[in-house]
Amino acid sequence: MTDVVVIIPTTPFNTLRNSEGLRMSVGLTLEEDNKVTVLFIEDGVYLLRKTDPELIGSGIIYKHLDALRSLGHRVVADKESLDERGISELGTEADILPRGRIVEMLTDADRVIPWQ
Amino acid sequence: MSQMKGKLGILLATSPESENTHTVVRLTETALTAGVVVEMFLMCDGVYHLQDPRLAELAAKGAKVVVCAHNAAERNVERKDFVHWGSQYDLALLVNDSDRFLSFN
Repeated sequence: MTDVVVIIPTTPFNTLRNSEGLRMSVGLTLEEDNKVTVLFIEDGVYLLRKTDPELIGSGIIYKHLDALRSLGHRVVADKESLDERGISELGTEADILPRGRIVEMLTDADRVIPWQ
Repeated sequence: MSQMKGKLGILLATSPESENTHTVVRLTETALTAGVVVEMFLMCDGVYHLQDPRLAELAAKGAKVVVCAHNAAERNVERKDFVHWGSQYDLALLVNDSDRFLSFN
């Protein structure tokens, strides 16, 4: 089993980069031995709010997140980043973890892919 | 002939204007010289590197270059002989089977 964490730290507004990062994350699940976690941190947590991807120009978001979850992979949000931005309600499912657990998760991962 | 010392996987997703290009080229040259197997996956604006002659040289020296065909088609990038016209499945395999994996994006 290869534990892969993809980090998304940037805002989804007016960029297709995050959508591409999520497409890549779904693609990583094509190797059955990969266990994929997508981590939303800093401004990346805005992706988890309820938004209209067409209006904010973010490309496809929820379809990729749903695919990841339905395939048994994980979506994680950094609690500190959510709190700093006053985000208490998410538009999609995610495991909210404190920073300490995030650090552990990254330390334990076999591969970390920061997606800027 | 030098002994192969593992496999280095590289993801390059930035355009050729980025400083990442120079880093990846020099890193790949050094790794190949040291007998490391290098496989590179190009996606997003990284597919524009197909027009960079340095990549063709690296491929000639033994680096395997794979491109996300979806991103290349989106950008109307012409197919080259030295690359494998691949998909995200190739990246999934590379992430899994490389000894070290570096991401430049």
